[in-house]
Amino acid sequence: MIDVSPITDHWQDLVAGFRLTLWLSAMAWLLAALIGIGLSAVRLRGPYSVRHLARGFVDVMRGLPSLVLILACFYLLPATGLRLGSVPSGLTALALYYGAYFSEAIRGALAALPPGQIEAATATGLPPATVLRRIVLPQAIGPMIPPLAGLTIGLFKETALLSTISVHEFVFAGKEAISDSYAPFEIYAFIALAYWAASGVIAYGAGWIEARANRYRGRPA
Amino acid sequence: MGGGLPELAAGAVATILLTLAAAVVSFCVGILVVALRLSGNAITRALARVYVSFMRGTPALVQLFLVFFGLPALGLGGHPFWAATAAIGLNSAAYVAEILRGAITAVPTRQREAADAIGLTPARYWTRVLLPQALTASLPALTNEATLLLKTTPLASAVAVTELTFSGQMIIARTYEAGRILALVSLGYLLLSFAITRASAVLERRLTPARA
Repeated sequence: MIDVSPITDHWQDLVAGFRLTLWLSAMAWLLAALIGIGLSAVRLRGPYSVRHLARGFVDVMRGLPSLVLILACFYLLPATGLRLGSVPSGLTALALYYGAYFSEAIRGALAALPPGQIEAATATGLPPATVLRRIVLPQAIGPMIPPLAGLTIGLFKETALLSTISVHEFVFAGKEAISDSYAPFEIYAFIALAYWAASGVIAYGAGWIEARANRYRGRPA
Repeated sequence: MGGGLPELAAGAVATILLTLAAAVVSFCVGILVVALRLSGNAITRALARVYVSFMRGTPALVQLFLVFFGLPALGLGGHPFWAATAAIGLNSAAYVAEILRGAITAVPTRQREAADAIGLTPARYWTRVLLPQALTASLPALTNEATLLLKTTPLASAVAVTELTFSGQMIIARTYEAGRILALVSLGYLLLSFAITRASAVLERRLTPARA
């Protein structure tokens, strides 16, 4: 049957790779969230010309394969004088790519709110920051969670593409283990199971957050 | 200066072929999976669920490697193009199945009862009643999935299929003209995804009057 020695022999390297994958996912997620919040703010409230720029950026990101963007950051960022290694290049690519998708999810949830609520809140004299904090966000967070959860799992999975620019993440560690043991199927099956389990944890966590965010509605949505 | 255009054009043709072939796999397997997912048998339902969960929970790149290294072990030849077609198609099928599941469960159950009453077999009910409505309703979502599929095809470069991205990488390795080549490659993908959305808009216009 399946021989597990190719996995146990390279256990340390595989674990190190998986930890880097988790770290890359977390960093890229934070950067993407910042970009996404900035882009959605600009697209909803920014000056007209900047809105169009942001929209164009999002459209280009959504039309390009993430691998092409990763290669572009890898080859072109150093040419601009930035001496970046493959990890910062890869993080930049994932952050730009998912930032665009995040902004769509955030914008969608904010735009779904009836405008009358914001008008009413403003008319009663609430300052804009309070409107955002007490009226808009509590209602918009819940509907935002499912698309953001899907994107988070997508980002987590796409860190695997950074193996093509020699970032020593999980899949790269797997490739090295394969070049040593020549047991590609066993090792990739193990890697797939690990990703699967971690995606399951993300999905479960998102469900929990969503339930909490919608708790004020009285019954589970 | 210059050069590389014929190679990029050949790469773009390979990308188009890969996208079309994988879309056929995705569509057929997607319908099969959703049929299993909604069937009366608990075991096939569970199998379909596991399939969708695995395909959506693991990186497409790892799935591609599993197919590429797994097919020869099953005695099927590991031609890179067909391995990529199978892997990208099977991955997308999980998303197609979920899209169709939403659209199918939105069809009112009384149509099922009416179909039973006039004596339609379950297979006829699926092909003549359920799928035409579900496919039309989910066309925008399926279009979106088709562009996502297009954007997954560069993964085939990891098993040395000379599609658009891989031919670009080979030219860059030879000429170091990364900026110009990547701009052309990007333009290629933007045009192809634009073509998919345009084709879908035409299809949508042609399908809509049939529902009126």
